[in-house]
This record gives sequence, C-alpha cells and structure tokens, in this order.
Amino acid sequence: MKILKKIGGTLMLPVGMYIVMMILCYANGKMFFGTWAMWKTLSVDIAVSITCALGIGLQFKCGRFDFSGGAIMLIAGILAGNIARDSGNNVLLMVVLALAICVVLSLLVSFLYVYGRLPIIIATIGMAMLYESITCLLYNGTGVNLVPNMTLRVFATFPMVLIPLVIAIAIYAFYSYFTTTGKQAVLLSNNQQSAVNIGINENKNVIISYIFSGLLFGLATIIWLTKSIHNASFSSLTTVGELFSNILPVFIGLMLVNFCGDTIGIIMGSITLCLLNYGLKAVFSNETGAAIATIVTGIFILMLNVVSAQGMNWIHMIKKAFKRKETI
Amino acid sequence: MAHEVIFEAKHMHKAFGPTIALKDVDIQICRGEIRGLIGENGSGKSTIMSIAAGMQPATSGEMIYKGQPWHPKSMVDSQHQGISMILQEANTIPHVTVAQNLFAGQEQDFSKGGLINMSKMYKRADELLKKFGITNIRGRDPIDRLTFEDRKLIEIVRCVTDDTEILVVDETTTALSHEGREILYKLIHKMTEQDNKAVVFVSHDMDEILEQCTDLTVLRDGDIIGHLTREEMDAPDAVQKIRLMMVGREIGEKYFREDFTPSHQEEVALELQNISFGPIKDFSLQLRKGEIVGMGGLSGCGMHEIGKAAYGLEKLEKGQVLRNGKPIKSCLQAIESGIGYISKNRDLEAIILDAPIQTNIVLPSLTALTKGGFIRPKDEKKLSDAQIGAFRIKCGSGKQYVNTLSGGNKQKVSFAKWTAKGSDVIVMDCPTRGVDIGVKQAMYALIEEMKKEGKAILMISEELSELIGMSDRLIIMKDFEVTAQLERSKDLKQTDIIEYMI
Amino acid sequence: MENTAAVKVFSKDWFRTHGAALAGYGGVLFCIVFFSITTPLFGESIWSASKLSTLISDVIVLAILSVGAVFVYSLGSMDISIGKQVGLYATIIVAVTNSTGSLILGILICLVIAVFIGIVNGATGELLHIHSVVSSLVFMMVLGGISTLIYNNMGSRNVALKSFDHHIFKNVWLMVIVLVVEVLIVTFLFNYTKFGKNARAIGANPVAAEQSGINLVKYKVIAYVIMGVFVVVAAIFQMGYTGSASDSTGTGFEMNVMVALILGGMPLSGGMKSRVSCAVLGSFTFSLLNVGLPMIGIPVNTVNLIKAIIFIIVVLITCRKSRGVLPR
Repeated sequence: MKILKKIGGTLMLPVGMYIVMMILCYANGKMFFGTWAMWKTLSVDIAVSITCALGIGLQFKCGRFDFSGGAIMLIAGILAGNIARDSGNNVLLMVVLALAICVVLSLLVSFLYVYGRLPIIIATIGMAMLYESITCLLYNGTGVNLVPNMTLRVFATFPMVLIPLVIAIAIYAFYSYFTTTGKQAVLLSNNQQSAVNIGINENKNVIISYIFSGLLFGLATIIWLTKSIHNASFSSLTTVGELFSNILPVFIGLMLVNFCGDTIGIIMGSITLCLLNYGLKAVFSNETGAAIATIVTGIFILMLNVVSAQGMNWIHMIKKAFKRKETI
Repeated sequence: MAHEVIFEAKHMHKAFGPTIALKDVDIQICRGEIRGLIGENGSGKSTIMSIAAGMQPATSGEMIYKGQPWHPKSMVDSQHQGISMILQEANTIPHVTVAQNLFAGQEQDFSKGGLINMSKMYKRADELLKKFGITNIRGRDPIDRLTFEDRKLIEIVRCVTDDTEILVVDETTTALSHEGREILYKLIHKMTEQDNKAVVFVSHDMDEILEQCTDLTVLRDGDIIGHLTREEMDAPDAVQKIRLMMVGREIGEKYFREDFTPSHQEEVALELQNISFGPIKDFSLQLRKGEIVGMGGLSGCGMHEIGKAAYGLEKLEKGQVLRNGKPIKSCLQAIESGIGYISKNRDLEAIILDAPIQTNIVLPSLTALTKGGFIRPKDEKKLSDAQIGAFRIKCGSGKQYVNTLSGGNKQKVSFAKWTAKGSDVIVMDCPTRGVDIGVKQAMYALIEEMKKEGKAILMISEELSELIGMSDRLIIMKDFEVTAQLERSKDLKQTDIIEYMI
Repeated sequence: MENTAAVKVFSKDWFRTHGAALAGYGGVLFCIVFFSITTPLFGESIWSASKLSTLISDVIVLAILSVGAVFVYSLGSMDISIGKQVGLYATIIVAVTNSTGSLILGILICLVIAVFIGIVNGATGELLHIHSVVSSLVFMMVLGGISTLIYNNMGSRNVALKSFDHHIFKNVWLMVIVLVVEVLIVTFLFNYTKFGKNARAIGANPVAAEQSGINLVKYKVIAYVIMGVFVVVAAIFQMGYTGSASDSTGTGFEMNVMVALILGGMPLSGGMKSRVSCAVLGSFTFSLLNVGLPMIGIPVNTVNLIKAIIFIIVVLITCRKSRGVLPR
C-alpha cells in the first residue's frame, strides 16, 4: 500500500501534466503530441532542465541560493565551444574544457564565500556579475554559436544526450546518498551551530560541494552549449533569470522528497516543466506559448509553496471535519 | 574514593578580544569525584571546561590529561580520547535520524573512501541505545519525533562511551524531564562510584549542586575563588558562603520578599475564563491588582502556554481572556489594554538584539508617541532615558545596541518596554533565567515595587525558590492541569510542592 | 567596567556599526573625486552641463526604484518583480495614453495594479507561511508572460507615444525635483513614523516585533505598497525618456536595485541598519561608474568588469562576517 502511495505521488505531476497537454494538443489538431518524435526532441530540453536543476538543487538543499550557475555555464560554453571549434571540432576537448572550467569557476565562487565570509546571495551575485562581464570580453563579446556545427552538436541530440544526463543524475545521487560530505552537508544545513560545535569542518564541506555542483553545471553546459545561440551578457544579471526558470523542478524535487527522494523528484519536475512548455508552444505560437508557459509556471510555483506550507493544516482540518461527522 | 589526578590545567588564560574570560586558572580533577563548578555568568566555568573538551583553544596555558600534554583538535577528537561535554543549548540536529545524530562527525567510522554505509550506523546506534537502557528509541527513528527531553538524552548517549573518562555536564539538567534527570544522576554516580571515572558538573543551580556533587569549586570573573569539600557543603551556612564567593560582596539578607502574608487589591486586573486550547482544557484564573500569582511545574506542564494565552498569543478554542470586561483576542489588543509580556526566550522573542536600547524600549509605545502623524525623536529619547535611569541600565547611551549588554541589563530592557508603556498587568515567563545573583536581587526588589504600585503580575517560573519567595498565590500545573493552588506562607517548602509537579 | 566599554565602543564596535555607512559614502566620494580628476583629462569633465544631465537621466529611474525599495529591503525581503512591473506599467501608460489621450488615466490604472501587487506580496508571505520572495518570483513570471502576450497581440515589439509630447519627462530639473521630493517623503516615513520603525523591527526580529504588538501583515503590506507607488513613478520616467515601451523594458532592474543598495551599504537582511541614504548613494555610485568609465576611455565591454570588481571589493569591506559559522 505504501509503495503504491509513493509511486502515485511521484508520478502524479508528470502524468497529470501529460494528460492535460495531450488534451490541449489534440483539441487543437496537434496530433504529434505523445509520439516518439516528440520525446526525442524533448529529451534535449529535459536533459538541460534536469542537469541545471540538479546543479541548483545541490546548493539549494543546503540553504544556499546560488546565483552564479548561469554565468558559469555561459563562460564555460563560450570558451569550450569556441576553442573546440577552432581546434578542428574536437569533441573530447569541448567536454574536458566544459567540465574543467565549470569546476574551477565554481571553486572560485566557493572560495569567495568561505574565505570572504560574505552572505551567500551577495557572494554569488558578485561572482555572477564578474563572470558575465568577462563574457563581454571573450572573443570580443560575440558569444558562441555552434548550432550549425554537426560534429560538436553530438550531445544535443538523442540518444547521445542521455550520456551526460545519466552521469549527472548518478553524480547527484552519489553525492547525496553515499558520500560522507553529502551526509554532513545535511547536518550542517539543519543545525549549523551544532554541527560545527561537534567538529564538522564547514569550509571543507562547502568547497567539496561546489566541486560537485561545478561538475553538474559542466555536464549541463555540454548539452546546452550547442543547443542554441548564446550571446555574451551585456546587461546585468540576465543569466540569473535564465537559470532560475529551472527553479521549478528544484521546488518539486523538495516537495517529493518523501515520495521518491529529491533526485527522482527533480527528474519528475523537469519532465513536467518541459511537457508544459512543449505543449503550449505547439498549440499557440512559439512566443505566445512560451509566455503562457511562464505564467503557468509562476502560478504552479505559488501553488506548490502554498500546498507544502499549508498542506498539513488542510489535511488536519479535513480530518477533523470527518471526525465530527463520525461522532454525530 | 580514589584521589588520582586525571586532569590538570595550569595557568589557563582565555581572552575574546578585549574580554578576558579566564585569568590564569589552575584546576585539578580527580578520578571518582563529581566536581561541581559554580559561578555567575561570565565567571569562566563553562569556558574552562569547553577548552578542556576541545570546543575552543586556550589563549595560553597548558593542560595535562592522564599524565600527557593535552591538545584536543575538536570536540569529536576529545570525545574519542575520553573527555566528553554535553552542552547547554539544544545540540541535536533536526530533520535527520537518531543514528545520524548519535554519530555526527564520526561518519568516517562507517565509511570507506568517502562512501558511507548507513545500515552499519543504524545497527551500532541500536546497540548503543540498548546499553543505556533506552528501549523506546531506535536508530532509524527521525529525531523530530522525539520530545525535547528525549533529544537531550540522545545528546547524552552521543557523548558517553566506554572510553569516556571525564564527562562534563554543562547546565544540562534544566532541559531534562524528571525521568531524564534521574537517568543522568544514575549515570554520573555509576561512572564515579563504580567505574572510577570523573564527572564535572557545571551549573548555576545551588540546590542541585549541593545535592549531587562530591566537591565544589567556585569561580568568579575568570578566577577560582575557592573550593568546598563535602563536609563544608553540608554545613548549614553553605548556601550563604557560596553566594558570597560567587558575587564577591555581601548582598545582604534580603533576596526575595520579606513579608509572608498574601495580599492583593479587590479589583480583578485580568481574568482567564474557562479557556481551552490544544491540550489545555477549562483553565480559569483571576489575577487581581497588586497581586503576584506564580505558576510552577515541570517544563512541559502547560504553564508557558497559559502565559502566552493571557497575552492573546494563542488562538482559544473555548473560553476567553478578559481585561476590564473586554475580551482579548490578539496581542495588539492585549498591549493596548495594558498587558505586557516577557517571553522566556528572551534573546529571541522578548527583545531585538540587533537594535539600540532606545528602539526596544519605545517599540510598544510608538502609536502613543505619534503626534500629528509623526514621532519626534526628542519624545522617544525622553521616554527611553527615563527608563534607563529608573532601571539603572548600564550603557553608554540609549543608542547602544542591546547585544552589547550583559544578560542582566538585557533583562532590564525587556522590563523597561512595559513600564514605558505603562502596562498594569505583566506576564513574565522565567524572568530571572540566566541572570546573576546580584541582578536577581535587584529584579526581585523591582517586582515587589511593581506589586506595591498596584500592578498585577503573573510570574511563570521553573525555579521553585523564586516562586515560593515572591508569589502571593502559587499555582502548580502538571500535564496541562492544575494540581495545586497554594497561598503564600512561611511554612511553604519546596518538598511539599514537588509532589504536585511530578 | 562599563566606562572602558564606552571607550572601546568608539574603536572596533563603532566601525562594525558604521562600517557599512562608511563604505556607502566612501564609494560615492571616491567616484566623485576620481572622476572629477580624470574625466577632464580625456576631454570633457563629468560635471559639464551635458554630461551632468546624462548622469541624472541615467540615475533617475534606478534612484527612484532604489529609494522606494528601501522599505521592502528593510523588512529583510526583496522584490524581484520590479523589472517586469516597470515594463508593464510603461506599456500600459503608453497604450492608454495613445487610446484615450489621458496620461493621468494610464498612471491611475498602474497605481491600482501596483497597490494590488503590493498587497499580495506583503500579505501572502505571512498569511500563507511561504517565503515572501516566492510571491514576487511568481509575479515576475506572470507579469512577464502577460507583457509578452500583450505585445504579441499588438503585433509589434514596442509601442510609442503618439500624440503626447513626452519631452517634459526629459527635463533634468523635473527629475531632480521628483527625486528630492521622493527622498524627503520616504525619509520622513522611514525615520519619523511608525511605518519605517516597525518595518525595521520586523526585519531585525519578526517574532519580537510581533510580541511588541506589531501587526506583521499590516506593516509588510504598507512597505510593499509604498514601494509599488514609486515603481509607477519610475516607470513614468522610464517611458518618458524614450517616449516608448517594449517587451524588454525593465529587464534586470531588480538586480540593478539590489546591486545599488548593496553598494550603498544596505544590509540584505534588513533591520536597524537600513537607511534611505544607502539607496541614494548606491544609485549614484552605480551611475557614476556607468557614465564616467566610458568617458575616460574604458571600452564598453570592460565597464561591466570594473563594476563587478568594485562591487566585490565593497562587499568584502561591508558585509564580511569575521567570527562564527559561515553566514547564510
């Protein structure tokens, strides 16, 4: 019985969204919804969403709002993409550079936080600004455009996209469930002072966690970089908005912790979000669909937060109402 | 009783910037003794033991443990080598399992190359709990499901292993239930009498220390003032002598009220009429002007919640709180009708630490200070300075931030809020907790003064001596019900009351 | 012991209490001195009439937004929907003025919407027990989507004022007057009425504030509504400068406000150390860098880099938490 409840809770969001979008699409004559072709196209979007959400989520779980992920991905993308292309479309080089640059940049952010002892929001905003400004200087601010490059695009197509995706999920799960650092991070996030009193080394823990989230963003970069055109960031903090469009899966992941754990929860959340975007874009035009998707996502986030905050209260009230009916 | 010295500290000095917490302290702990360390806030009693237990390093000095120089790297390291310390604050980590709490910081023992084996941890946790005679808790249980007292027990289990040679108990017992305290006392007596280990018992509580300890060391202002042996502790004037050593000057005979007759005016200042909420059912109380009603009981008995309800902070299911005939449904209404409330979590709820004294004092009175739509800074300062003078709050000016004040002065600020507002009914929850003896004396005088002015006071406290010394009427609660109502009298003894509490 | 304490108050504690203010004033003073000396060497002095008016035009929108935002930031929260609000209001004002000829009507409609948004942002945090940033995140997404839908509907990327002469809004003196009036109003409300005092108390310790009789919902709502009014004013000037509005108007403004306030020394956790001067100083520092750096020959690409570096230096001075566990 309990297993059924867990599976039901896990699948309720993506399945529910699938059904709603299917009805919407079929009603408007878009019969390609639900086909294998759709899933192949969607897999790339889902992969980017999952990997970004995992990267955000790893720090978010520990109570850290990290604003710098988007900027890190942008620099890594510009550098790795352009260098790989200029070296004769070397895929391996692109992969290695993306991973290495993301890890190094993440480490720098963690150093600023740990040794500068700044509040996390300020530290990550500062680094995001710094990284974005660097993108304006790289390659004269032209950004990166590998869309027509068939060789380097290998990870932005199905089935190759599954490789970095599965590796990212494995890394996140490994960190959360099997490493000492992951377990100690949970202790630190729940009662910081006690954990430090007991002797857990907070600095080491944070720095190691940023290595992991750097790897996750690196894997996200590999897919994301060749998917579309990416411009250097000339106005402040545009990467923040882009990155945070993937915050919904993180919230869903946290909400589903009791059903399936946050790793699978994030995957479910990403699938839900991508189905929403795809369905709306298919029915309405590209831009209108995206706009409506944004609105719906916003309301979705609101509902999620309200339900997770008040859900217990409502369940109590309903139970009480039932009890009263029984006694009568 | 063996007298082998197991731990020695020489010339210990600890400074936090300009503040000197320990000044050249020498101390010796012997096997088989339960050493009490008593002193005021800032005396250094917790500091010296926290250095011994690896929580912080000394500024200078040396320590010798089991004959070898002692340099612990952390609390976990110290615990592995035999010196464990249970802290005063809640030191368990929420939202994780009991086992994770028990072995926090020791995850390496269960992991290979960074990979952790949780089932091994759960098994070891269950074994450990069984050894302590704790049968109702398993390693896999989420710690959030445990009561506050059980969580403290888990902390104790975490600290004490077979290798523990010295256990330091730092002001822990106030957090424990009666059963918890019994488990702890049994444990420390077993350790010292049977296993020839040592226990250091750091506390404020005179009664408990006199009861449980074999020797007593008194500290004041970072120095050791003196030692008492068991015979000296049993002497009839021991309490006076110890108080003198703790405070450093004669504080005089007068501590609590000197009269022993209950007294009050006729008019009812605050009435709780058959209120029910949560586990509390049908509680009634009439508080009259010029009366001090004390409420006592164990920490979970419901008296703290009654205090909140009297101030309009609780949503009542039945009944009402009446002031001058009008029902009080929110704390804003309570304040406007002249009720004040001092929470027992003073630093978190009663005052704003990150704010100037003046801001804190005038905060409830802002509406009254608003003239023609705005508040003159001059009026604020006048109101605040009047209180600072009346309470003799030691500060440079009203602009000084509250978090720079001592505990006693912070408490004065929380009182000053309500005298500034002119509240006639004050609900105070644990008003002298964590406050030094000299300041306590001043507060008792103040409370008596307020009573004489005709204010009505509801004093909720976990210190029996305080309740007996100050109340006109004493209400004892147990398990959310009133078990006794006692009138002020000379013959009222703590032992009589304890029966109603347990 | 108390006397020595009073003396020591002046040295280290004084710096700790006033460090942020020092950095705020220091930043602006440094910029003023630096640019006064350097800009004439490159041609025109920054204080020349034309450059000064450029400066004021650059700073006005940011300054109006930042001063209004002081109330919300002193609560310890933030509003990340400001940018999208400005965009939407600018669009509404232009559209309504074009169709009805009445500027005032457009402004009134925006005020009504702003008050509504303010009430929702202020109340939902307390009443529904969700993080107050969540509701502003939701508004950001919803308003963004609505704005895109409006533009899609109109079939163009931007709208321009047709019949109304908007040059009045480019008048530098008007800008200065409006800013001064706003600063006076907000300073009065913030420092001399219970609105500001209660807002700061809520930011410092909400539980203690509640137990001192402060109605959390009421004062949070008031803070957000006050800010909302000034967002409308800022939108008027934003639209007035170009006489038009587009889908991307206002993008990133909330981040600029955050950066400006931090540069001015505003604590992100709110509380007693919040000051209106933070907003004014920070906005001017921001704009001085924007206008002054290009004047001394720094290429556009590099301006952002220097802004980022200065930001990091300023926060390292003002926000560093030297003792204890890592800040959150």
